[in-house]
Amino acid sequence: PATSVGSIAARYLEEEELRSQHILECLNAHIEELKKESEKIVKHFGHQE
Amino acid sequence: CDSVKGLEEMRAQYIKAVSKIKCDMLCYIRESKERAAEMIKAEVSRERQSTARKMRKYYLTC
Repeated sequence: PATSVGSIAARYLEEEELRSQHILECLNAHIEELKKESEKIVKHFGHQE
Repeated sequence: CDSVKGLEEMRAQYIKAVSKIKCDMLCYIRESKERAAEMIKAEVSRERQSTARKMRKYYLTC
């Protein structure tokens, strides 16, 4: 049973690795969006000066 | 007045981004916990069944 528990934990961690990759991509997307949108705002309000 | 509007837009954008990040993280953590709980539950029930099988075998051979 000890080995099967080990393999189950290993599989969990393997899946967790994929999930953490995925969430990193999501967070990066949010940051990219913030960069783009804030750049637009800076440009828009910069031109008016 | 325009610079205030720009600042407000920046603030809104920033809050939006942080909220999305928080939302995603909460979701991720919740799913991780649920997955771990499922794994433990499945393993415990499997172990319980195997113990019951051993007990049956033991009493039948006695």
